[in-house]
Amino acid sequence: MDPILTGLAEVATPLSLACIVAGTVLGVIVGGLPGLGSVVGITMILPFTFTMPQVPAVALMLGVYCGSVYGGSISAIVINTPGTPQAAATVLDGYPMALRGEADLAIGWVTMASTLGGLFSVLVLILAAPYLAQFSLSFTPIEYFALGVFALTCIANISSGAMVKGLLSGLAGLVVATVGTDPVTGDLRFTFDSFQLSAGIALIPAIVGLFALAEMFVRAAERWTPAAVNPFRVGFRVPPWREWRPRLGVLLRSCLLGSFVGTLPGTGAATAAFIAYSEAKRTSKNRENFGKGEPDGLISCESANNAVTGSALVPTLALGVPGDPVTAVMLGALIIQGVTPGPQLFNQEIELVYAIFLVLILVNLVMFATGALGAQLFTRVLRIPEPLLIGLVLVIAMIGAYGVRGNILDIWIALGAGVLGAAMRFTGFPIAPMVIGMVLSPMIEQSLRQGLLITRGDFFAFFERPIALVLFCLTAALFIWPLVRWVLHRRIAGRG
Amino acid sequence: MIEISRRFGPVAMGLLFLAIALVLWGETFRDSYHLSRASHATGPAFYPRIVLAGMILLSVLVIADAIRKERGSVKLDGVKPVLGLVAITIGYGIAIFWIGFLIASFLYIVAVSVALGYRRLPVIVPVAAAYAVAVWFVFQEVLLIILPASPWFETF
Repeated sequence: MDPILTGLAEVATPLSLACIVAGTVLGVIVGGLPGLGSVVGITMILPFTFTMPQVPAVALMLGVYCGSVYGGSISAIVINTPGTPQAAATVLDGYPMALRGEADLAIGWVTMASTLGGLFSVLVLILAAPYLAQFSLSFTPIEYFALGVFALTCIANISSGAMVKGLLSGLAGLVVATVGTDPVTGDLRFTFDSFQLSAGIALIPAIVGLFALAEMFVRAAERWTPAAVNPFRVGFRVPPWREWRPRLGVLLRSCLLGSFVGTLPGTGAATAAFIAYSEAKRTSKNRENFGKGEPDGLISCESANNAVTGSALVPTLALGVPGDPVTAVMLGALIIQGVTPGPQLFNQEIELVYAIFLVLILVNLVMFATGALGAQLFTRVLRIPEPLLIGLVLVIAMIGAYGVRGNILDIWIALGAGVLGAAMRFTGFPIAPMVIGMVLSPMIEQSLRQGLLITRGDFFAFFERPIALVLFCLTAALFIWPLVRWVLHRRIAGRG
Repeated sequence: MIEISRRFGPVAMGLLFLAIALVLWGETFRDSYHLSRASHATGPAFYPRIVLAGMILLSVLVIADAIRKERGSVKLDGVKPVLGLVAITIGYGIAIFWIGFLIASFLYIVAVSVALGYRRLPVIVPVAAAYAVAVWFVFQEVLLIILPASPWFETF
């Protein structure tokens, strides 16, 4: 049967469709609750996916992912607090619009912009991923090693001005993944004669701890006060076409920016939203209204952050290299499902790839319906007392850690990772590089050792491969750039 | 309120990573890591040693950077609730296997809410009970993920 039809048939099952709707609605709710965010949302639904077939499991995760990126904008508009970092720029024009009594119109703008941005990114994914997968078929282990090192350096480098801490966190992730059995020789490493550790430290419990548990521990430090009741008329109003028409350029530019940023490792939707917002502010005819409730501002950041969702999956699906923590968690869950992302996915399981494309399209459409019909309802969720919410999230997170293998050790791994993650957050160490390091470590190690076998132990021969050389040069540039920037700052300061 | 040096946190984390890296580095010199060197170009310690060397170097850099740059002190606000939540969660991890998932989860949700300052028991108790039962039912009966049971009841 045609692979597209097979993919469609897998998506059109009641379970898959239910997962699309449930995942999207849950994603919007999780995104709307300040602080939870996409990663915590996905770790919360992980235990539900363990026993599901592949397509419904993917549908649930993608629904939560896309829904949470959009959901953050609702709390940004209604309570002046972005539900997720991706919606931080939405506050700038969303809340002033709500203060003018147009919260429903602001929600209309962000819902439409998010949906269009999300659909645009699916188009990018459909066009780019198969070509990238085809291109990567020419990769040897040497290129994969260079790619893994480049991706990890990117993520560490963008760690909010703490490059050394980011790199240290990334290396710690690489080491954690070496615990267990050596993939080449079969020897045991760092198990300290513990039988339970011979299977290694499972990725999912560590991620649950580092993100969900650590986030809840950090939130406990903030004193809780009951939320004030919002005074706005919350609902959904479709912006008229005459308002939309002059803004199509802003929409298209922001979608392109968001999609491009999404494909780069370590950037993410928050970066895309701010870049698109500042670009729109620079080029918009209404630039003097930015920060006072200007729809151009809402369109730019919301279309850009949702345009990241599909394009971030391009390197994840085509190369097996996650670009951010969200796609890293999804990659881990896909591996549990028996799916191995990379070029072989496009050759051997093309039906699943088409199913993922279709699911993403449907998720974005459901997201629109969810925003249009449920905006008022979701603002009520914001009233859940935070201490109660923390308990509810932690219970489901613990099942996520335990459910992968049904092993008591995983509960303790999650707890240990949670305490470590909270300590890292308090001391300014980024967590994302550690998770990406854990995901990439097997690929980096195996490709390094296979590459050395190919070159008969000569590491310098790695630089003779053109693609690998380009990636090594980019990695070196990432290392040198902070130094160059520091010298330039010193010179400018010296002249000043 | 507790006040500590601003450099304490980064230095402590740097020392923790350094200690872990040094212990694991020492571990790679055990005899068992050298057995397969005879048949393989790179043994099991080859890759970890490269990464651990990087970790040691970066840990030292982080510590030196914190000592050089961080000045003054910082007030530790909210430490007690964090430590309380960690302690309750550790207790929950133990209790799951003693009294079963369902009962432990109910008690945990109530304990966390009360400890973090929300004490309206008429709201907390029914929500905790309904949530614990719903989660237990979905995972145990629908998704067939076997959750730990108590010693008093057959299924939960």
